[in-house]
Amino acid sequence: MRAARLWLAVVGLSLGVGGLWAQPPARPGHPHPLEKLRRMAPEERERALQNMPPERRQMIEERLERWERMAPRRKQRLEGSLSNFQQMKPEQQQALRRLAKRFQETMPEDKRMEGRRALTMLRRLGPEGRKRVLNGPRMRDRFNEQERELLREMAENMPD
Amino acid sequence: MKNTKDNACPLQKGDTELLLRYCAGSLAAGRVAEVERHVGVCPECRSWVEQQQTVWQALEAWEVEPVSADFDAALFARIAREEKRSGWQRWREAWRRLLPGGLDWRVAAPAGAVALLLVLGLAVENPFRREQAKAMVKLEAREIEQAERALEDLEMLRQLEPPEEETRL
Repeated sequence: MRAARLWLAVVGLSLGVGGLWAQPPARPGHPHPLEKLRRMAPEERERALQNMPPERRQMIEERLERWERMAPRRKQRLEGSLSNFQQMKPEQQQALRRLAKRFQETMPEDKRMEGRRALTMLRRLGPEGRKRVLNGPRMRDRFNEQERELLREMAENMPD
Repeated sequence: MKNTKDNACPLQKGDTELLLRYCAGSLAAGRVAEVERHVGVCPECRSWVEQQQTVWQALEAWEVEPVSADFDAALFARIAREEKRSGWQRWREAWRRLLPGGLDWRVAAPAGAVALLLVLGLAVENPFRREQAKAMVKLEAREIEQAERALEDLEMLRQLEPPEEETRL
């Protein structure tokens, strides 16, 4: 009887030890990696980025610095836009990235500023309103057909 | 020796050697009377001397057991026997001395199993944790990529916004 109890204890202990051994460690909360990177001390950030190619690393550092220098209100607004963007479907995100790239590459530099203003306005409108504005004389004077089509697509795909 | 405790008491002065020699009976006759006078009036010294005398009396009463005539021969014979015994016999004998009631295998086997488990647990690397550690490293690299992508997206969104002075209005 005593031996049986002892063996039972051994089995129980084995299961307990095994359970502890195999149990994955508790996972803490998951802030966004960008937030983690922003909160890091300079030396921690340096360590985290040390294995990256120098150009990519420099790009990250520059963008982080630009971000830190941004006015709080603008930062807040962009954070909201990013959050909305990240909630979009991956294919929608990809589509917008492609459109933004096209905007940078095809929109002449002297028109980009006005294009950004037009985008802000077009995003506030519904499909019909956008069509009306884009086909209006002022937009026709300033942007060609491809440019107006690009602005329409962007306004439709951009997050709030 | 004066009777005042502050400057003459051996215990106060830390001179226990004097009291020890008095108790051992090795003090010069002239000083014995002096110490006796002090012990008569100093309760601390009296107590100390009484305790010492108890020890001395116990030592005097202790009698060493007589050694048998063949003690040396028996001792050498035992040493010779011990040298002939195998390591296993010596090990068993040591355990018997530790556990006078004998080794109960019904107790020893589970205890051994527990010890084995613990040794295995400590010695063998947990493959799950190893994978977990790898995952952490991978996760960090992936997180950096995610942060990089988020920065790119932020940059894209920033470039599509109207100029800052206009958004402030």
